[in-house]
Formats: sequence, structure tokens, C-alpha cells
Amino acid sequence: MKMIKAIAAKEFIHIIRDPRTLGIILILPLFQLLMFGYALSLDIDSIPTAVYDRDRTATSRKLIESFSSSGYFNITARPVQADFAERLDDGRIKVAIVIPEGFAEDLLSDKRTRVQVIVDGSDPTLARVGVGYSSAIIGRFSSKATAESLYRRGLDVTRSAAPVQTSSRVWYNPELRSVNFIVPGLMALILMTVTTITISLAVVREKEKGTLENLIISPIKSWELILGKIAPYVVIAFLEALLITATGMLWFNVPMNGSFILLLMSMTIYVAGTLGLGLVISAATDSQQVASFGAFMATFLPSFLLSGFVFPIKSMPFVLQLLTYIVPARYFLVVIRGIFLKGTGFDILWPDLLALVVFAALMLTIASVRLRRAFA
Amino acid sequence: MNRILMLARKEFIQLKRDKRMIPLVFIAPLLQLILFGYVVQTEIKDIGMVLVDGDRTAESRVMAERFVNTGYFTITGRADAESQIAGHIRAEKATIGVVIPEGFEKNVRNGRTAEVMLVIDGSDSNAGVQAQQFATRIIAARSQELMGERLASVRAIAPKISSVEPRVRVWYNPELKSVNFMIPGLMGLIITIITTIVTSLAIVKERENGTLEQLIVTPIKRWELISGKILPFVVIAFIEIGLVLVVALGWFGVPFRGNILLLLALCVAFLFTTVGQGLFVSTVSRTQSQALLTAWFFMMPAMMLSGFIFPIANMPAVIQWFTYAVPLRYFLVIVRGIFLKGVGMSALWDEVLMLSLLGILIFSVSVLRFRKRYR
Repeated sequence: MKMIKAIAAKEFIHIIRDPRTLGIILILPLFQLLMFGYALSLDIDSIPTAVYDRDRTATSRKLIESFSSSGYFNITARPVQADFAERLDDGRIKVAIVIPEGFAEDLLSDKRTRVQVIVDGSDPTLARVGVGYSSAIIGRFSSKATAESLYRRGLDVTRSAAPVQTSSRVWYNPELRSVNFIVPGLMALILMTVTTITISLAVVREKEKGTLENLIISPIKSWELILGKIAPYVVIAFLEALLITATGMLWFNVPMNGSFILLLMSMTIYVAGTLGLGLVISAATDSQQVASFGAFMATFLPSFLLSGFVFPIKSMPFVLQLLTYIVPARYFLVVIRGIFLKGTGFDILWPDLLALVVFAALMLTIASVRLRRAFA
Repeated sequence: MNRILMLARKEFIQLKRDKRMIPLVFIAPLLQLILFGYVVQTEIKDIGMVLVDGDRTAESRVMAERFVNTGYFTITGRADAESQIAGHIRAEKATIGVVIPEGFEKNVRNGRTAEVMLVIDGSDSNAGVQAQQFATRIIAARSQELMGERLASVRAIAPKISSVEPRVRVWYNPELKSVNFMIPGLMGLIITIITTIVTSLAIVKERENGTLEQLIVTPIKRWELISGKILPFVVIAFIEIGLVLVVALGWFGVPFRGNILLLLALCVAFLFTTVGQGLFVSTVSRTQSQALLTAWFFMMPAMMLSGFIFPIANMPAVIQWFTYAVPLRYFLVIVRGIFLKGVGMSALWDEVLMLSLLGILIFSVSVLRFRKRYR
């Protein structure tokens, strides 16, 4: 125990002596959280739109008005000639709406008419929203026109009421704010990258300088060495987790519906695993350059791409779905989002927590064995 | 010129000697290509759905079938009452609950308005939004169909009724394939990673080893030193641009409609900004770990604020201002425009102008800083 404390104290001194790195460790994640909490929104609105109104009547203006008042379309241009192709080409607009000549007259004389919508498909997420909402808006306009047409002819107007209507309720995140979804995910991502990278660099730095050998030949046991090395980073990670949680709750108003103790407990398990991963990386590498690249490859990419952070696991090809099972962030995301948004407890989250425990145990064991072998 | 080549050769030899660096430099981008080609799509399939059919009639079964037939939803459970939906959603078995209340068929047949209720798990906002959109669209389509049946009787009397038909066409990427959007963009990201991170690490490594001082006391001029250090990474960056092009066109079938020479020329303009960032990072870091963290500081915004995945137009105004300083932002418009839209300079000139200005600015500031440090 004394040994562990001594190693931990030494590591703390190393960290404090390099205040810049400490600053980066603590400030950078906060900065990232603030920046990305705002920036990473998948909610799409105000699509830059051009309207080419060849009819220029009160009726065509009414249709344009229903586009702009929907909030999804931001009408930035009203060209008087058909030059919308150029505007789509240079990206100034993403949607072009063309209302044909005689639009109002056709509707008044009980005829069918058409409205053309051209959507820039190069960004599929945005295009999907553009296609969906423009069809919906025109559809609604159409049924109103149909009702008026029936009324003019003295026919039963009630027949034009929609036969089926939708009413929807959204739980846990009623406004479907993507912040509530992204911020807990960012916590998982930031915790993992920072802890893994810092600890692997700290160990490899000692390796490069040869001071690790000094420690190895001392009568210290390898598990004591590992615990001592990890302890200060656990403390730092904990501070960081608290900082991030506080920012998420107080600044972004992410609701916290679950148990705080369960949250801290699962964070500890998760961080134990990520620190173990950092040690494994440092055992396998000899230079800081390679260690940092390795840590980046092992943490950021899988946690960003294969964890369900923003990209749904179910939409991936089967082989990649299998791969997601070895990404610890996958489990932690379920846990942290469950606790924050749904207030779920241990009874539902235990399989994911168990997976995290297994990951942590595995990583720490491999690290212990490999570090011992490296200096046997 | 000779000296620059010598330095570049030295750099190549050092790179080759670091056995683990080469796979990282070449395998990492390949891996990213595969991941981004297959993983990065936000469209959701097979949304888990709990069905509560309180009506149990032919009409309610048709409604439920529509959900399954579209392919967006999979029924993962059935419940007798609305109150049971919560259990399914909390256990992550379903994202949406669909309630068809009793009397559904009666309302539909009697010319009244029937209701379908949706209960949506909003904790995954992306899945929630899509589930809501798909479900609403399915219900609206069925409603339209029933409406057609109702109006059929009217049409017998009055053959002409006014309506508006939306004709929606999608340009450039009609099947809305995510790869067509992601893979060209990835070119910008890979260039940023290779040149910013690897360049700064290579320079700081020499400083840590003390070999940079040795180079500086030789009669090599500063600009020669800088060019020699940079050259190998520019070459590597171009090899990777080629790699991305081959994989994009050959494997993923991304259309390339523009001028390849224009693209390569503009890659050079972009390289000035990323190499400049790498140089800058190397002047402010003493150790490789500091360099990595600082390079990271440039990389993350580059990725998140460039419109690579998350649309810039949705960001708050203050953050949108930040994006104007991100070179990748302009490069993405250029590379996607050339790939998908086949546009030329006339449509891209403002992006090219901004990119060149940023390139000159970042590069000259970094070179000045570098020279000052090693006077």
C-alpha cells in the first residue's frame, strides 16, 4: 500500500510540474464540450431555398408563405428567371421551388396543377428533410384547395376532412433536442480519449527516458506499479467527469433523471477500463509518437463511429455491427443516456455495466501481464 | 534545391526506420475510408416498434401492416394497453409505440376523423425525429388513400376537383447515398490528419532528440530546412489523395463529374493551410505529447465545424462565425462540388479565394514563428 502511495505521489508531482499538460487535460475537454454541445446538431431547419414564382398571385404567395412559416425553409432568393441551377451549383441554395404560370387560375377553375421542387441531394441528411417537408407542405395546401373546390360546387365539404390523423407524444426529451442526446455522448467520448492518451503518454515518456527501468528493478510488484500509476489519473478523470457533468446539467440543461451514485459508479468502471487500455497501448509501444497515434486510433475513432454516438448501430453492415460489441463506449453510452434521460436504474442497465466491468478487468490484467513481461 | 532534396530524403529514411509509423500513416486512412464509407449514415432502419391494436379490425390491421411493409419499422412487441409501452421503451426494445384506439374502423368508415397515437422515445433525438417523420408519413399516406376512396363517390358527380401535385426531384445524388457525401469529404480530413499531426510530430521529435539544433547550425537556410521537412509529407498527402480517389471511384462508385486537374490544384492550396498548422503547432510545443494535444486542438474543430458531418447552417450564429476560420470548410465545398456537381472555378471562386487567403496567412505566420525560434 505504501508503495502504491509513493508511486502515486511521484506521478502527481510529474503532472503538477507540467502545468500546461494539466491545463490541457482539464480545460480542453470543457472547451470541446461547450463547442460541440452547440455545434453538433442534427436538427435541420432554415434550409436555404429559392422560390421561382412564375404565377405571382395571392394564391402562389400563400403557398410560399406556408413554406417560410414552417421554419424548415429559409427563402433567401426570389429569382425572376430560371437561374436556380447556378444557385444550386454553387451551393447558395439547397432547395428550389418552381410555381408554374397559371397556378392560381388552375386551382380556381377546378383543375390539377403541379409545383416543382428541386433538392440538392449532395448532403443526404438535409435532402431527406427537404424532400419530406416540401411534400408535406404541398400536400396540406392541396387538401385545402380540394376542400375549397368541393365547397364551390356545393358538395359535402366534410368529406375532405382527413380520414386518419396522427397525434404524437415524445417521452424523455419532448422537444427532441439533439443536445440532450449529444452531450451525454460527448462525455463518454471525451473521458475516453483524454484518459487513454494521457496515461499512455505518461508511461511511454518514462520508458523513453529510461526511468521506468529504475522502477522495475526496485522491489515493487507490477500490480502495485500499475495501481500507483493509475491512481492520479483516476482522480483527474473523476474531476473531469464532474466538470463535464456539471456543465452538461447547468449550462446545457440536460435533464438528470437517474441516480447520481449509479452515474459516478459507472463512470469509475468505465474510466478504469480506458486507463487500462492506455496502459496496454503503452506496453506495446516505445515512442510517444506511436503511442499517441495508437491511442487516438483505439479511442477516438471507434468511440466516435462505432458506439452509436451519432450513427445508429442498426444501420451498419452486419460485420461492423459485430465489431461494435468490443467498443466499450457502446455500453457506456447506453448507461449514461439511460441514467440522464430515462432515469433507468441498475435493474435495466446491469448487462451493459457488466460488459464494462469485463472490459476493465481484461484491460488491467493484460496491462499487468504485458508490463511485467516487458521488464522481466 | 539540392539541400532540400537531401533533407527530404533524410526525412523519408527516418520515416521508414520508424517501422510503426508507415502502417499508421497508410493503414489509418484506409480504415477511415472503410469506416466512413459504411458507418457514417444517420438514416435509421428497422426501428423497434410496439403495437397496441385496441380496435382489432380489418382496417386497423391494414394500418399496422403499412408500418411493417415500408421497411422502416420492425414490430418487436405487442401490448394490450398504452400503459405497457413504457416498459418496452425503457428496456431499449422499442423506439416507438403505435396505438390504434378502439373505434378506429368505425370512424374511418363513417367519414369522421380517426386517430393513431404515437409514443416516441426522444432520448435518441435522431432516431426519435426519424421515427416520428416516417410514422407520420405512413399514416398520412394511408389517410390520403382513404380520402381517395371517399372522393371517388364525389368524383362520379364532379370529375374535376382542384389539387396540387408536388413533383420533387433530387439533383446530384438522386438516391441520397451517404457515401457520395462522406467519401469526398474524407479526402479533406485525411489530408488534415497527415499533414497537421504528422508534420508537427516529426519536427518536435527532432527537437526532443536535439537533432534540430544540429541542422540549424549547418549552413542550411531556414526556408530550405522548412521545405525539406515538409516535402515528404506533401508527397505522402498526394499519395493518399490518389488512394482516396481510387477507392472512392473504384470501390464505392462515387461519381466524379468535375475536372481532376482543378481538384489537384486546389488540394495544393489546401495543403498550405494544413502544413502551416502543423508548423505552427511545432513552434508552440516542446514535447510530442504537447504537440499531439495541440494538433488535436486544430483537428477536432476542423472535423466538427467544417460541415463534414454536421451542417453548418444549423449551428448558432456565434459558432458559424468560427467556421469561417476553418480551412476545411471551404475545401469541403470545393471537393464535393467538383465530385458531385461537376462545377468549375465560376461556382467555386469565393471558396478558392478564402482558402488561398487563409493559406497565405497561416503559412506565413507559422514560417515567421519558426524562423524566430531558431535564429
